[in-house]
Amino acid sequence: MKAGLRRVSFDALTTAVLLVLGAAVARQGAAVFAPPAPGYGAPEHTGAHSPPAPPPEAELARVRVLVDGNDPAAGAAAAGLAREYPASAEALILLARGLEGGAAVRAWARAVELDPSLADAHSPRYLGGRIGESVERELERLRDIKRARLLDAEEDAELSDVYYLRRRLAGGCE
Amino acid sequence: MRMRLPSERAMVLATGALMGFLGVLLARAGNPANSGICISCFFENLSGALGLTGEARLSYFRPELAGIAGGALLSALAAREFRPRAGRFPLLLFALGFLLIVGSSVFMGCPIKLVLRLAAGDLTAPAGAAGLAAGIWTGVRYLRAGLDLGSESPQPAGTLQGLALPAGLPVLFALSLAVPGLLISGSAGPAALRAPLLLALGAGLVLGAMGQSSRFCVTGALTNLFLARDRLLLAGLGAFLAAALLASLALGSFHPGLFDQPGSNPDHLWNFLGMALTGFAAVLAGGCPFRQVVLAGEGRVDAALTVLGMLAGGALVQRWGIASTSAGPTGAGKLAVLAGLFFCFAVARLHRRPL
Repeated sequence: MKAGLRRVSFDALTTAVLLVLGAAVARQGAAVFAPPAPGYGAPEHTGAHSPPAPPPEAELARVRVLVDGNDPAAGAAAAGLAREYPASAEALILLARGLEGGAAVRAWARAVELDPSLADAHSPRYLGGRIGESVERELERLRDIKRARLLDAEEDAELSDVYYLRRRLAGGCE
Repeated sequence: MRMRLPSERAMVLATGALMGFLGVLLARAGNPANSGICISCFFENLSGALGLTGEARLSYFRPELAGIAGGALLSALAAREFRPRAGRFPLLLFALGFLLIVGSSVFMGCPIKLVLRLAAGDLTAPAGAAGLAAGIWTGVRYLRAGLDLGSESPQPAGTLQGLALPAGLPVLFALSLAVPGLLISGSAGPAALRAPLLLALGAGLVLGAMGQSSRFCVTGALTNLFLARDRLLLAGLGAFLAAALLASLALGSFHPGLFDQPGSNPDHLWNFLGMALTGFAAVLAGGCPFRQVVLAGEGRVDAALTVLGMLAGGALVQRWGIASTSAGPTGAGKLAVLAGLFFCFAVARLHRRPL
């Protein structure tokens, strides 16, 4: 009798766990398979899976010259390019080079997400030194702020990007 | 409790200690940081080398993997323990092998890498350790309640079936050396991070042989503890952690912290759940990913099927974006872990044969 009850309750518990997990799977599945909402600067979702077009070489070269020469117009030109081509790591690299502080770190983080070889010491595209400098400066700045007060939401997001880049620069298998 | 022969305990302790030492050494010698030995990473790399992922950065047939399979086979042959056998639920074991890799890829490492990450001071790993223990405990509850997947009563199988995987992996590795271009070998990313070939192959051979003769298994250590209060393998696990910690300290690989850890992600909840899935699936399949490769070396066709599931898992976690990155788990990864846990509970529920 007691063993039978225990067996029923064990099976009932498993069934309850299965129901909860089933609901969680359905919810997460809906989130994963829902079509993405068009974001800021992103092209509208068309259902097609073709990759977004890269920026024209001539346009990249024009902005690169401005950034390399520390031209006063470089920041606006790089921001315009990144807005027009948000999935281009090249555009984000140029944007990051013209920025400072948290904005630079955020741009580097997006660029590394799009092109992991930027944080790969074995790749000719490795920019670890430049990214690392930006990250360490921003980490120091955020530490100073944190000593005085709590970080606001935007600074919190910047800190996440700092830690993300430090994990990527540390290497590992991923 | 049965008395242990001193040599049996010594063998388990030696295997654990050597695994800890070699795990740290291989990373220092060139393998990705904290990933000197990581069976799930190795299978992701192998599936890439076979062209199943289209991700060149993760494509490389790690010599360690061929060494482990070959070492286990040679050890089993020498000890007359090579006995081809097969169980009753081949597709189920294939699916469990797949889930072993799903859970590991969300955590970003198999149970062996979990220990190596702990020993390197990675403070995102304890959540995974707790998850692994919770998953194993859950699986053991079902074993105690009559779960039977038939692995305890395997039937004899043909010699060729038993040899196919443990001999096939070293042969494929030898062919990949003899015929350049046969397999894909990435020149950037983690695939470019590799220990010297002879060191990697030798380490794999020794670990495979010692793993076979000692029965060492990370998840088995906790399974035996929860199931029968048997602490033998747990002592080996302790030796593994202690040796890895000492080697990390001696070789300068110990960097305690939460935030700057290589090959890790900061999401403790999904690290917990990912490893819980791996622990649960390991109990159902009869061992952790390393143990499955070693069991295949003894001619266990069940384990070979689990290994093939792990190979498929290695490909699909990349193809479907299930594997976590430094930024954290992906939506597809969370879905796969939840679905995997659902599958494990359903299997445990359906295959329970209470007395």
